[in-house]
Amino acid sequence: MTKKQQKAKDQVLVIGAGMAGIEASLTLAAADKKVYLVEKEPLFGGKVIKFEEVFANMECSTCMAAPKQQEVLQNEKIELLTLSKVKEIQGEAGNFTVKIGKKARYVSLEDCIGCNECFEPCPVSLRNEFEENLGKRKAIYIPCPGALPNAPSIDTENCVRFTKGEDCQLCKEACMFEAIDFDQKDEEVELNVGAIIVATGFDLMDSEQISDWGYNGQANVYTALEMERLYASNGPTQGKITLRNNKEPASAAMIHCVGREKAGYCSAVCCMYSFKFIHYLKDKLPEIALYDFYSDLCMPGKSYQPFFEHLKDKTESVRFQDLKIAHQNGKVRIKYKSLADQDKTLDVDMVILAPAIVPAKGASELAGVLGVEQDENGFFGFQSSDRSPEESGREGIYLAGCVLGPEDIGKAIAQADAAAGKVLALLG
Amino acid sequence: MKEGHVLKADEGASKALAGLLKSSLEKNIFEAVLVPVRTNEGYNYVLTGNTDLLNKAEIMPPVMSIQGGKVLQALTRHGKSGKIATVMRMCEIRAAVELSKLEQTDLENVLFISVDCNGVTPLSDYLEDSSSAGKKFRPLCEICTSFSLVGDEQAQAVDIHAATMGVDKGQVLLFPMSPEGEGMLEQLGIDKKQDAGNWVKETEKLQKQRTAARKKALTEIKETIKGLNGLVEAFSRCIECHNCRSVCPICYCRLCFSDKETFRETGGEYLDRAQAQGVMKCTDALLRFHLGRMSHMSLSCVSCGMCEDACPMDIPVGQIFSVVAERSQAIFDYVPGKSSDESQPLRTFELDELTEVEDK
Amino acid sequence: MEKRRVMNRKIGVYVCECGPNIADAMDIDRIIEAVSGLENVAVVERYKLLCSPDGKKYLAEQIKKHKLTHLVVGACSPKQHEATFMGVCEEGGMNPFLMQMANLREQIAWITPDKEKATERAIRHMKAAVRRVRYHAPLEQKEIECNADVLVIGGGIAGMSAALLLSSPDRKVFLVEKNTELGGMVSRCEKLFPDMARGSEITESRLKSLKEDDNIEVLTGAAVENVLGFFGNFVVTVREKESEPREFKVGAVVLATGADLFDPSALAEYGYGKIKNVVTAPELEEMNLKGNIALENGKEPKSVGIIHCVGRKEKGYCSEVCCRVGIKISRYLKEKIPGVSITQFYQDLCIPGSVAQAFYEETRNAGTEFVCTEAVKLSESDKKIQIDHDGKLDAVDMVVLLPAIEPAKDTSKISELLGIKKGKGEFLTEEHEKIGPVTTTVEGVFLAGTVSGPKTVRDSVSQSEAAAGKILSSLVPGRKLETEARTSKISESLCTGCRTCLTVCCYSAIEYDESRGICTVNEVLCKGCGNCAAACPSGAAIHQQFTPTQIHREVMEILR
Repeated sequence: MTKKQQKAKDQVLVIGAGMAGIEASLTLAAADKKVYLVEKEPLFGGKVIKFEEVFANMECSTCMAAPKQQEVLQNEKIELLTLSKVKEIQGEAGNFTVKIGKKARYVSLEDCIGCNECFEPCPVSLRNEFEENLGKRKAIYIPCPGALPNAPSIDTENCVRFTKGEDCQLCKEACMFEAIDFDQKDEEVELNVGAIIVATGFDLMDSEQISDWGYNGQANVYTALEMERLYASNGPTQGKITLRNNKEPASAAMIHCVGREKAGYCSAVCCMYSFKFIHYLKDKLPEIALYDFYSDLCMPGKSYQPFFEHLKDKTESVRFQDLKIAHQNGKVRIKYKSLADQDKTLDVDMVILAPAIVPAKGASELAGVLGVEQDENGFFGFQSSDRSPEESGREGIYLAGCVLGPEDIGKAIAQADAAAGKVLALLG
Repeated sequence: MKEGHVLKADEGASKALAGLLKSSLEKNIFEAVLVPVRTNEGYNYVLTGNTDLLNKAEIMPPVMSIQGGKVLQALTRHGKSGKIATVMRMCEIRAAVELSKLEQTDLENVLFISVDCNGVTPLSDYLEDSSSAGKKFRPLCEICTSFSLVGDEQAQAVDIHAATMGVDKGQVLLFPMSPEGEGMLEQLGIDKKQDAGNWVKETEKLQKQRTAARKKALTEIKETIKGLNGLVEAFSRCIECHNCRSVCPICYCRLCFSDKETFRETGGEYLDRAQAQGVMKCTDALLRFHLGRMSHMSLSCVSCGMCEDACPMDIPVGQIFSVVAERSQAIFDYVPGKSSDESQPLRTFELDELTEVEDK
Repeated sequence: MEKRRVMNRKIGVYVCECGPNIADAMDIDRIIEAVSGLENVAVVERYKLLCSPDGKKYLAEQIKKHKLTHLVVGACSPKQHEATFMGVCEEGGMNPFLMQMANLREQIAWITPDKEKATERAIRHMKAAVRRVRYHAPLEQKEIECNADVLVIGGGIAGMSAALLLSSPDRKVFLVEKNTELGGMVSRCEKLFPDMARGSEITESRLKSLKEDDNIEVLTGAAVENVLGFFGNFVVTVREKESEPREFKVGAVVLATGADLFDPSALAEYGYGKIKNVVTAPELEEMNLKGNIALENGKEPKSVGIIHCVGRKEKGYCSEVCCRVGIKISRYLKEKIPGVSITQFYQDLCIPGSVAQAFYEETRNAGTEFVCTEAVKLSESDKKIQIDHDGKLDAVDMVVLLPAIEPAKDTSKISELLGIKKGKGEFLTEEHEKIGPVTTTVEGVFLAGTVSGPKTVRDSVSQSEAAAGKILSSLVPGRKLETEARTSKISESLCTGCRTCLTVCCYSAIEYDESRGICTVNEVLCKGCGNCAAACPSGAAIHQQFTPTQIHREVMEILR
């Protein structure tokens, strides 16, 4: 074995720093492997850190994720590369050469203590994508309170230094630790690793694809992630449930299976999180009238149905065929066909859509770079029963989490450890 | 409890019950019995298989110099005994059952005979004037509602109850309360039954009186300990001898929290405290001892009154503790010593316990 | 003795300014003044940023310079930098457990803009930390030898997959199976959804690999009789039929004993065991494997009803796989009996995941009818089976019931031996539903497959490989195990043997010593949660980093 191969054997690349990526990294680091954990966003934690609570034990989501995140940050064997994407892969199992494109943060992670003083003077204000556009941020920003790493980044697409070439130094002047450095440059990092784990997660079906469900970003029709941010205590409204007109809703409907027909599959978790929303809404607005529209209730496993049983008296469950949403005098009008083929109408103040889960943006590009196949829905891996779910088709590259299909956190964590196990068995 | 088995008691209840125990020893139903016996100095529990000694037995002595629960703890803590029978008051049996929940007594081989109890005389009064026996009673005995098989505090551990109140002179009515109790009466051939209507009437009447008296007395005591000042006042005579703890059947800890190193501060720490507070009482342990003991044992308190009897400074400590005990037991709907299946509230871990908090 | 120890203490107190975070929010000089006079305080200083490389260097030097015995750092949350400052202690030659942090940032500076209140509170916190740290003990992190071998209980798909991923020349795997054959449920299915791959091929290929693997020893017709020890050092007694029991020394145990199916004869509405030609899914799988799907009279059924959710209400949960099994059975039937008419009756169609819906739609479009119904009642009528579904009637030749998955009956003994508790649905409980699906609260014991709840073959394989992954990572041949230093301990002389601690320990770290009548803490298994210390009625159990004395001093100072 060459020296390079020897070194590669002890190094692993994990792409995606959500719950699955974090778990795989920690398991690999405990086995003394050096882990490069690559994340495209300026913060890590994936989708889970957007939730306030998780089903079915309604545990505080950040309380569940934060200790694991801290372990990653404090673990000497794990190098977290945020604002980074995998550009190219060469080689084979046991000896991959990987090129990572690392965007500049323009803030030094060693010097910044996360005091947030640099935001106030920034002249540019825009919608915050992390908050699902329900809140605002500056061009230099931390996506949400509690984001890790606890240091801002400069959004070059909106900062006037980059868009207009202006010599604005307001954030730098406000920093007492000299942590802001406009001279930082985008880098290309080359790594030698023995194996790769892909844990790039999911996104919700694009809002354009669900516009026929009444979603237009303006009316009181929300996506699941918008609902999560509304309820989140570190969110744009500090957890207050108010509609876009600042009023509190007196009634709300959860619509399951949004985009299911288009996608062609059931996204596995939406029924459960819609029930979670029952709990959210009743917690903040005890008098609110709730409705759940669904085609089939998907609550597999030993703890999910009991969760529903516990909550079902707080909502009216309605089985629908053919549902249409319109806007009528500030209310949301739901027109649907019941199972008995009757046409019905219901007006509510608020509608929360459960859109289909699709592979994360950029998945196709990544599949091309990795040389692995996607199925017709864009997910990686194989669904056959004679292969482990973590197999990607290319030796040395393993999968974990929603990159291989819609599923809950428990399955993703198991796959992450299984992928780590396969890596450890491969590399020795 | 319509009928009781008749036990002849020509020479009084105590001799009759002693005779019962003699017979059962002779018939090898038990290996030994645990009974109070009159000695020169006073009354002591003895463990004996000697039927002759039982002639000296005083089944219901006028004083309680040691709580029966404590005796059983000493006897059965380290492994069970052979089969023994014991005659005890309800509060003693309840204390023994309470201790069994903490693995401090093993009652599997103990047959309990409980007796209607009129109460006991405070030790100091009895020593001063032995004729006060049966006339003067412990304040807690005067308001005791668990003197017989009435009310909520009946101990399910009782195997045979011996009824004397409202029962014809020359008789004791025995109620078997368990298969073991029934078996014993059968083996002894005590099968003549008699209507117990009078006993029921008597005990229910007394229960009513006692319940009212208890409520009144505890309300009055509660007034005297209102607020921190009241509490300080009530315990102002306390000399921290810890007698109350020593005689309490429930206090079984090897080393009491109040004697631990935890509260032994350094000279520097004490001086800092005195300076910060302006003044510091020396020692600072008094109220902490009582309040701490209350919080540790009040859920198990059976209001036997040993503590008050033992207090050399005549502090109504038993009554004060009973006030707190009643309230804390009510919060959990818990009756100490009633059933060995009922686990102590603060010692029991339930997986689903806090769901109401989550749901809010 | 105690007096001398107190006089030898030299506490160094350092307040971190944390930039403007702490410095602007409170009057640090006043804090320094307030703390300086306390007993045993040798030095009090402030510093700009203690967690910076310069700050850490400074602190380590200060420890050496002043020969400090204890350290108090007033800074941010311990979650952030406790590990950092413990590292600094080690650099300075001081036991890292003799350090206490006071959280001046998250707990004070960041929650009040009132500088006066903040200063006052900070003084209390700092004094409390000083008072407390004097009573810290120099705890030591221990290392113990461990065995990297693994015992896998259960030779189904999960057990086999785990064994195969674990085995290596420096790690032996023992696979224990109660039956004479390996393979479990999967070997009893002709095909598996969604790709209709052959179940037998899947198990046979694994069997072949197992046989060829010298590092794996397979014991069939075997049962586990006893388990002693703890993570890294288990001793498991296994008895093969008609042999002497053997002891296996292993470092970890994977429990993959599978599940049973609900017995529908308990429910009158399905007529199972009473009405002819009502069979369960496994019975149909058996018929299918033998190549003979037939009625009791030997003829082929012309019409079949498949009933989902059998026992769902009684069990209270959805068994996840049955809908897909029902769809698969449709395919068997269509393949083996051309022209057969099939109707499926379901309460909810559970078909999650990227391919299950297509699997369902193809089957439906090929001519299986799916009827959504709340309740189903079967009765005999005219040599056929009548299905009453929500008042409507259908008659079929044969009915296949899809029963709920329930915990295996004979898992009770082994789970008790291992100390794994039952949870939801009476299945064995994993450590955490979301972030701990294969670990348990007993370190070194892992769950894989349906032993912890209903799941698909794919997920069972994932879990078994996850258990293997965790073991490969934590139990490395030749590497010692580090144990938690901040554990609880029980005083021998104070313990009264009431065993309250036993009931609250989730990690099986407490044992009752019958001969001495006391409880003891296993330091290797103890995670330092403190439940026992909180629950002990006699104060015999204490947490070594949260002793009553430490807590008392801290609280007294805070409340002053």
